[in-house]
Amino acid sequence: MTIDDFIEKFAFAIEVEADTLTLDIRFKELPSWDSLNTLAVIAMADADYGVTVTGRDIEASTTVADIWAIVSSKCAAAK
Amino acid sequence: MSIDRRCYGDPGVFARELETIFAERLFAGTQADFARPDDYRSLRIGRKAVTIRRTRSGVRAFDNVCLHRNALIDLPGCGNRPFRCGYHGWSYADDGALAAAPLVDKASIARCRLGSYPVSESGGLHFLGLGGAAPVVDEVAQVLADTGVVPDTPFHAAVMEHACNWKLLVENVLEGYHLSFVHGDSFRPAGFTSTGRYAWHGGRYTSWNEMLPADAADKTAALRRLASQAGHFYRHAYVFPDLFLSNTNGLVGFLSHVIPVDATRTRLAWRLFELPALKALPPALRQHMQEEAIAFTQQALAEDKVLVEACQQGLEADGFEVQLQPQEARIAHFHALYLARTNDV
Repeated sequence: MTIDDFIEKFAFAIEVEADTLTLDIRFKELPSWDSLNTLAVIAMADADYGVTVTGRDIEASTTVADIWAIVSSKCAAAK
Repeated sequence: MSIDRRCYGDPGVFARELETIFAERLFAGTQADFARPDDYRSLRIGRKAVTIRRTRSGVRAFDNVCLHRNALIDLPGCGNRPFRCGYHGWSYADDGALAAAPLVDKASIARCRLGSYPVSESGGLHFLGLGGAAPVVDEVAQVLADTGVVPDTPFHAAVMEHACNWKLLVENVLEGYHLSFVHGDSFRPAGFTSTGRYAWHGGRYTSWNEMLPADAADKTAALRRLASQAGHFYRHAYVFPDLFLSNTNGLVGFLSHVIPVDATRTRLAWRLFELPALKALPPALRQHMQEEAIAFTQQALAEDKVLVEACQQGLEADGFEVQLQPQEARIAHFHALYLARTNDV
């Protein structure tokens, strides 16, 4: 589980090119961001990492790094 | 020909509607409401207080006024309890007969059976025939199949009061013409607008429609990545005179029914439930979609309430007969159903 791997999966979930994303991107300001992307990120966390990210987690996050911190901490807690 | 505007506020017309239209078929509840013995829903319509109960011989409906001192046997709402008046313990059997009455003088009891009403069921929906005839429900299963609505246990339920005649609430949900003007914070951002693709079908007492977003707003592909049976659509069904069902994107089901209080006041009881495609998703997704659906519905109903109440006020002022537009064909269909039943109202 690496940051690069996470960014790739995050990009795939929200349907943008992975090389356009960095950890400090404010993902909700992306032109293509909409409420369906929230669902896609929840689904990605469940399917790819086996952890539960909630709508509130995403609402409280600003950057890709914020989501990464949530996912990685939940993965660590699950071990 | 449309419903005369005077029919939207006249207490005499309202009383006759209760005796004709609402006596023909009235939504009584879903399978989930009557899952266990002694589950009940008690309701009041006009001067009738009725309780619908799961008995050992199926779902039955009875007058809900105790034969003793006229107390309501089941208090308004729903729940699970023996069929027994809470005041002095008079109990009733599965056929409405008085079964036990503590400390009574039997010679003083002249009436010993509650009135009962036929109940019909189709697709997990129960309907009441207050007029004495079993409600016709032969179109219900088809309209559920056409819209993909599978009624289930609700994850949210609420009631909203409206200062308007019940027919205005019906008419409001039978057209998508108003979506772009009224629903700027609900349907429009979800892709459903006044100019979306719209198809409808009308039966003898049902109608349904499907709304699709414009091609540029179509999120079908994204939704199918989340759930293969999902899509980007809004399907809506109406069962005359009081029941509405909808299917949003193949994921969330909605059921609501109008409860006419008087000529100018109507209660809308609504509930949301998961459709099978949503139930198959991971818990976090289901939770989020449920929260979104509750917020969306509350927003949309609040947006509609302002306009239907504005219509009521307009109808109470000097005005004109309605001028229905092609996008309002389901309203014309509703008017035809209404007028066919109330020629002399």
